Amino acid sequence: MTQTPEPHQEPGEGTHLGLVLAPLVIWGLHFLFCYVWTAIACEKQGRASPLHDTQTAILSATGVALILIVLAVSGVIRRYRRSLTDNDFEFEVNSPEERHRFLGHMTLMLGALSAIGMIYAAIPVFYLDSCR
Amino acid sequence: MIIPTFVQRPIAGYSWIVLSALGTGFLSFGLWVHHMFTTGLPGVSLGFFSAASEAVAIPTGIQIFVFIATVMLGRVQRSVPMLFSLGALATFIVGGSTGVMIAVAPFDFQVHDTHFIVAHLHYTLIGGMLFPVMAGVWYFYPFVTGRMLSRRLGIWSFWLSFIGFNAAFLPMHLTGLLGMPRRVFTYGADMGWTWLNLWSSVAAFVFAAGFLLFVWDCVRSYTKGAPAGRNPWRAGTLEWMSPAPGQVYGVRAIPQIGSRYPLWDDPDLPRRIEGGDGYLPDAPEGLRETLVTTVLDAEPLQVLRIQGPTWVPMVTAAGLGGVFIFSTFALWLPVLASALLFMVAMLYWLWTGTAIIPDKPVKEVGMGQRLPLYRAGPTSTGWWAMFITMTGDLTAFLALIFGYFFFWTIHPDFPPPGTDGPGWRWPLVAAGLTLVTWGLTLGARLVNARGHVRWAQVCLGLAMAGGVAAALAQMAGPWLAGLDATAHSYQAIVWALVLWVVLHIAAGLIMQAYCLARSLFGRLTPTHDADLWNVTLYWHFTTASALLTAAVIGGFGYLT
Repeated sequence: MTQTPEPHQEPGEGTHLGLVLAPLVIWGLHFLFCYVWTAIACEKQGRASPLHDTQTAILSATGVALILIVLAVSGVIRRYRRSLTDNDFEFEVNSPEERHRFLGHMTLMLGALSAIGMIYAAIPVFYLDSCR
Repeated sequence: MIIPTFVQRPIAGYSWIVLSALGTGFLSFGLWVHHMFTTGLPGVSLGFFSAASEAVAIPTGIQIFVFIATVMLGRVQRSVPMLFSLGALATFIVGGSTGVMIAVAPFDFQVHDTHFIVAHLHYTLIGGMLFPVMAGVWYFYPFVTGRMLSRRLGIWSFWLSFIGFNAAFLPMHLTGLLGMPRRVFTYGADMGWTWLNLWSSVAAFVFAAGFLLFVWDCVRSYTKGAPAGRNPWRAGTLEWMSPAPGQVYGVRAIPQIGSRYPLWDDPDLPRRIEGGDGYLPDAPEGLRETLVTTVLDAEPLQVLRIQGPTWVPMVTAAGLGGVFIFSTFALWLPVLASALLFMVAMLYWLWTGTAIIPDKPVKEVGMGQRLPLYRAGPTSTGWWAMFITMTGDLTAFLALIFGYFFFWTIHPDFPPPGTDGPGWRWPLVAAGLTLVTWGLTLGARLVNARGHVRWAQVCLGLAMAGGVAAALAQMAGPWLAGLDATAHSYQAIVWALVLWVVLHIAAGLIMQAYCLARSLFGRLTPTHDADLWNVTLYWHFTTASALLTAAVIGGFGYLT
C-alpha cells in the first residue's frame, strides 16, 4: 500500500472531535425517529391498522441517515485515505498528523457500525404488517 | 490494562477497543426496552429495541476478541488478577450469548420472568462487573496500600468463587427453561426443580466462601501483606512510576509522554521524574496544582490550583445524600435540615475553593513554559463541567417532555375534555420574563467584561427580580386554571414540567446572588469572571427549558 501525502497538522487544529461522534449521533437520531414515529402512528391509528406509512417513513429515514453517514465519513476518507483494515501500528508514532489519522480511522469504523445498527433497526418493520 | 500487563505486550487492535467502547456506549441508549418486552408495546417498537440489543453484540464481541488476541500474542504470566480477568471473560461470554438469545423478543416472551433471566443477568453482572472489579482490586491493591495480597489465598478465592458461581447459576438456565418463575421462595415438590435448586443453593455458599476469603485477604494484607516495592507487576502504564507510599507527594513532576506504555518504552523515565524532569517539578507556593491540557494533543493550557485536603466536599455530599434518603422515608424536617446543610457547605466550598483570583497571572511551569493560572469561559474546566452537567440535566428534562407526548399518544383526547389547561397567556408571560432574565444575566457578563462593574451588579439584581417574576408566572398558569396534579395524568405532567422549570429558576437565582456577592466582595472582576461565565451558561440551558415548557403547556393544546 502506498502512503499518500497527508496535510501537515498543527497541534490543536483540524479534525473536530464532534465529527468522530457524528455517525453515532446520526444512528441515535434515526433510532429516535423510528421509535417516535411508530409510537404515534400505532397509537393514533390503532394497533390493527396496516404499516404502509410507517414502512415508507422508516425506509426514507434510513436512506437519509445512510446518506448522512456516507457524507460524514467521505470527507475523512478523502483526506486520510483510511480503510477499515488499517494496520494498528500506524497509530503509534505520536505526531499531530498521526492523531488525526487515527480519528479519521475511528470515524470510518464508527460509520460502519452505525450503518449496521440502522439497517438492523429498519429490518423488522418489513416483516410485520400491523402494529400488534 | 490488566491484560496487557500480564502478557507484557501492548493491547492488540487499540483502535478496535476504542470503537467498541464508543459503540457500546452509544448503542446502549437504544436497548433499555429489552427489559420490558412483555409490557404490551407495539410489535414494531419491540423490533427496534431488539435490533439495537443485537447490534450491541457487535462492539462487545469485538472487545472480547481483542482481549483474546492480546492474550494469544503475548506470553501469559500466571497471576491472580489475570485469573480473575480470564474468569470474567469466560463468564461474560456465557452471559453475552444468552443475551443474544433473549434479545430476540419471541424467545424473551417464553423465558420472561423465569430463572433463565436470573442466570443471564448474573452471568453478565458477575462476568462484566464483579470479577473485573475483583481483578482490579487485586491489581491496584499494591498501588494503594504498598502491600501485596496473598497469592495463595487469591488462587483459592478465585477458584472457589468461579466454580461456586458457575455451579450455582449454570443450572438456573435449566430451572428457568423448566418454568420456574423468578422471585419465589417456595413451590410444590412435584415441579421438578428440587434437586437443581438444592444444587444451586449449595454452590451459592461455595461462591460466598470464595468472596469472603477475598474480603478477608484484603483486610489481613493491609497490615500483614508483603511489601510491594515499586511496580510489582512490571506494568507499562504511568501510574506505576510513583514511589511506594511514604512520600509526601504523589508524583514529583508531570512528564511529557509519547506512547501508551511509557514505562516499557522508556525505562529511565521514573528516575528522571524523581529528579524533577517535567512540568511543575516543585510547589514553591505550597499549593496543590495540576496541568490542564488540550483534548487531542495534550498541549498544556493552564495551571489549575485545586483545594488541598478538606472535609467540605464530604459534608456537602452528606447533606445532599440526606435530602434523598430522608425524602424516601417522607421525613420532611430532616430533609429540610439536610438541604440547608448542603446549601451552606456547597456555597462555602465554592466561595473558598473555586475561581480564586491568583497572586500572579502566569506561572513558570518548567520545560521553558509559562502558563496562566486562571481561565474563564469555554477554555476553563468549570465551564465544561457546567456544560456536561447541563447536558445531562437537559436529557432528564427532555424525558419529561417525552412523558407529556407519551400521554398524548395513549389518550384519545389530550388535554382531556372538561379540563382547562393553563391557557396561553401565563405561559407566554413566563416565557417573556425568562427571556428578560436570561438577557440581563448575559448582559451582566458582557458589561462586566468591559469594566462596568456597577452596571453588571445592577443587571444581576434586575435579573434576580426577573427570575422571581418568571417563576411566579410559570406557576400562575396551572395554579389559576385549578390544575390538580393528583387528578389526571395531564394535570400531573403539566405541574411536573412547571415545577422542574421553577426549581431550575430558583437554583439560577442562587447562582446570580452568588455572582453578585462575589462581585461586591471583589472576588469576581472584569478579568476574572469564570463564575459569571458558568452561571450564564446555566441560564442558556434553563431558558431553553423554560421556553420549551411554555410552548408545550401553553401552545400544544391549541394544535390538536
